[in-house]
Amino acid sequence: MAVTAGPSRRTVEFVFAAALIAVAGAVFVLSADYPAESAAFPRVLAVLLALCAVLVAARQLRHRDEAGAQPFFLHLPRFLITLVALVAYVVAIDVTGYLLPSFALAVALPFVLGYRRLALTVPLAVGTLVLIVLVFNVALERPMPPDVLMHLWESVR
Amino acid sequence: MKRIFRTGLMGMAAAIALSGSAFAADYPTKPIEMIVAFAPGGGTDVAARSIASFMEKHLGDGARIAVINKPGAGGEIGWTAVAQAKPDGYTIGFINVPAINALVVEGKAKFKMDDFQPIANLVYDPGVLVVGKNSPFKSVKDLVEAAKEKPGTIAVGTSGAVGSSEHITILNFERLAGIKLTHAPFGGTAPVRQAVLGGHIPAATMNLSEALQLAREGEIRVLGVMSEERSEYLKDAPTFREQGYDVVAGSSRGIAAPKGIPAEIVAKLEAAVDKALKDPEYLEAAKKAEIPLHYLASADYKAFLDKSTADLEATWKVSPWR
Amino acid sequence: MIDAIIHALPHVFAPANLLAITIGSVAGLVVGALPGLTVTTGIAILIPLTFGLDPLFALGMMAGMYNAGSYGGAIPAILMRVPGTPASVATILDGYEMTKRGEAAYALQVAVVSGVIGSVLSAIALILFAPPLVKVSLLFGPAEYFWLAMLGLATISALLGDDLVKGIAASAIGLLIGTVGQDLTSGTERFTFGSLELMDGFSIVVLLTGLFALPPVFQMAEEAIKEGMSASLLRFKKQRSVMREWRYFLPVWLRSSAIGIFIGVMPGAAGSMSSFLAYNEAKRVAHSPETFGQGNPEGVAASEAGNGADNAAALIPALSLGIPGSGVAAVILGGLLVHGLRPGPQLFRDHPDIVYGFMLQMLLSAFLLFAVGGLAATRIFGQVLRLPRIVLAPLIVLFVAIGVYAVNNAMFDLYVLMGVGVVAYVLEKLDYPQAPVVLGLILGPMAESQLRLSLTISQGDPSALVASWVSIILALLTAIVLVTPLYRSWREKRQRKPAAA
Repeated sequence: MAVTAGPSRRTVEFVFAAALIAVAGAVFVLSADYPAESAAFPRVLAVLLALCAVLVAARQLRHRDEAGAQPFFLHLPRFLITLVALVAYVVAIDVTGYLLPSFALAVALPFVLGYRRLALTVPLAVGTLVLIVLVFNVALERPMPPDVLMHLWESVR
Repeated sequence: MKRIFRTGLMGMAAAIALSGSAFAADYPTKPIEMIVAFAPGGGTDVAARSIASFMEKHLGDGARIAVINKPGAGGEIGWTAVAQAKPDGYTIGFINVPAINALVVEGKAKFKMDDFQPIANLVYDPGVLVVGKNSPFKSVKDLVEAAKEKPGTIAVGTSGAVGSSEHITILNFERLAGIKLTHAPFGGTAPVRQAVLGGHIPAATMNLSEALQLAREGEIRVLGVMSEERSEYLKDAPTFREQGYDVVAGSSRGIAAPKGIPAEIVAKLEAAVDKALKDPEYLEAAKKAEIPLHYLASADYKAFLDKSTADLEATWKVSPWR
Repeated sequence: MIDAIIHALPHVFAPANLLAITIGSVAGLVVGALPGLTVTTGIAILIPLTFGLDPLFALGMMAGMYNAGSYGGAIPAILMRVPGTPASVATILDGYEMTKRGEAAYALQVAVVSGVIGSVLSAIALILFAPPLVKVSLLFGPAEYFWLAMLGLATISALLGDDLVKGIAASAIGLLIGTVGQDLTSGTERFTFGSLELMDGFSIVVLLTGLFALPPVFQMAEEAIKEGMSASLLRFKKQRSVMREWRYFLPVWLRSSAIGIFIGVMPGAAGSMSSFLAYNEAKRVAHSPETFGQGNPEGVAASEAGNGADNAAALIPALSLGIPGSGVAAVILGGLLVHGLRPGPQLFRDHPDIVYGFMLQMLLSAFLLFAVGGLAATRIFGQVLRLPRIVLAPLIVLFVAIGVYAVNNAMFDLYVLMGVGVVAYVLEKLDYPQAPVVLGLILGPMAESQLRLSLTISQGDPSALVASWVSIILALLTAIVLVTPLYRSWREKRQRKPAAA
């Protein structure tokens, strides 16, 4: 249980506030290279952001309440599976094009997360993709990420 | 080793060239992608989509041209895509002078002008300097004198950003007239026109076609047209040259392909553009809409591009815009 | 004018032209409902197809597409929390909450009726008041636009949520993201790291989609619920009827439409501003503002009426001066040009039947939206929710991915989408409000660039910012919007104190 629960809400609050402060710091440093009138606005914002983040963190230190001890994730393993699946999806689109990874995602993600009725997911995935191709590619002539399937289709034609 | 490599490379190039001409005969066999470096709905996009359907007709054999928008970075993303595309005739694109040359001259772009094979120019729209109808300036000279009296107090609005072609034109004008103006970039044509009409800015530059209707209605006054001769569409607007300032500038749109595409395909595309521009249906629509058509065949277009680049290089040396 | 309208009527109601509006409406609904596709794209593709056709046929299709597309964005916003268009973000705030409560059908009904009313009022304003409204738009220069942006930013104060510190942090995040890209006034590239894709800043649609659409996907996956919504919840008749509650919604509709028309006429104002300003105004005057953001139908009504009212109004400066009030209006101008119709005052003299015909078509298409959007489409789209949520989650990703890719045809945007999605998930879980991020993102650049433009023109003299009465009024309005929530909480505290004592 302790493994699946993941970090507490308070921990994430701290990490995120720290990240905001880091971003604010980076903005402040990077702005140094810009002419004064271009740097002024981002710098003011960076200070404001850092200030808020410090306040958020300080509040967490002061109020050690019940809510902060709750786990941040509803279900960490499922979150991680989804995250990995989505990142893999985008990388796969970059490599093989849109259609194949999309089909894989629409069928595999519910499957891994416990929904095993392929009789619903497979036709649904195919139907959705046909609809998308019809609207985006055929009707509106929007190009899709170049797909290996499209090359096959071209050569068949 | 090096030599073998080089001969191998040459052989490959020859092979590519040969295969090129082999399929050039029945070109096009698949849809041609026409890259537009601006978002759907912009001036270049509408022009591209309009001409594309007529080029399809005149290429014949059920040719298909798909307009593909690759907007961003003032056109640079789309133009880079054209320059780096496979030179097989299936990727062509719209390029805009002088914006594209300016990027090259600045040395910022990932491409050179030599990376393009010009096909044909379609439109040339001269620049104009305009003021609101209640402005005290009646001629370019009025404005120059006022600017001499109080240097830097007269703001001139443009639709671009710093380093845009209109900004470069203002720098040129400043140099030729020996004055100092303030450049106010509005980032779009709609806001700058609104500002001129509402009297929020003393003067502005834009393209003639954008000023035409408002000038005829007397809502704005054209101080000078930046072309060699007066425009047919607005005969009573004087040129800068007539008033003693040699400012000639404007923006043009044309079609180019990546360097190295087979000459037969260049010729085919060139002919398709030529015929499309002479198509009565297109011609009538263009005339009604007062689109300043200006056809240049491939060779003339190349000369025009080279001259624009040379001019900008000269300006860059004297007054860098960035 | 009356003559021209009477003359135009038979053309507008010619069967072919009615068909054109219907086709345009259906296409517009699809285009608006799919993220990444916009009405602008739809019309741009339409234009070359209308060569050689009767102008009113072409314009009818555009009118239909415009009104229906602007409403279409509300459908995925309410059902799936996917902003189909930037303007539908304000609709998400209450619409998606209603869906979670099982009131999806009612929320869609509120949206379509409000959208129709906004569009109708806007079209009427276009027909009757174009000349005076154009004069108002000319009063706006850089200084006035700066204050308009400030007014918009001030509405953030109403969207901050319960946690003031996190609300301000969220605004700062949005404003900072807005600074990415080339700075117009100096030409400096800020935070682009030499990347061409970031020169113009992040693409708004990409950010909004990541911000709103992806967190629920993670949520659904974590919950892994294997059932969908029951069919009975999605039936229209079982739920309340907006038409019977018209008295309740009327003030919201009128106020929101007035705001939408006003913003629509301004060429330099961001289009999504109207729905946010309308939303905020509804919240500001409401009896119980705390119910906004928790599924208050008034929020949906305000946002959609404001959004719909933006449409026809944006054509006012476009038709009468040739200055487009929005991206869509700009393409419609392109479409007019293709038919040899040059916008400007002479258009009304030379082709009154076409101009007024087009205006009537805008009005007609607004009513048609009622049929197409309300009766048919929302019923079909609503069925999506019957899918098991765990199956729906990846399907949302498919649509979002292709839509985001279609914006710039760039893989870069897909990677941005994923990055933003993960950050947005954390933001949401930690109760950082998202609406201020959006407003900061959209209005920050407008405020900064207009301020600096104004100072450039005035040679750095700050008094230029309050030189006109329009500026002064807008500045005062900004102050009022900022102070109202503070005053309210102060008064509540005072009322509570004697009760406690």
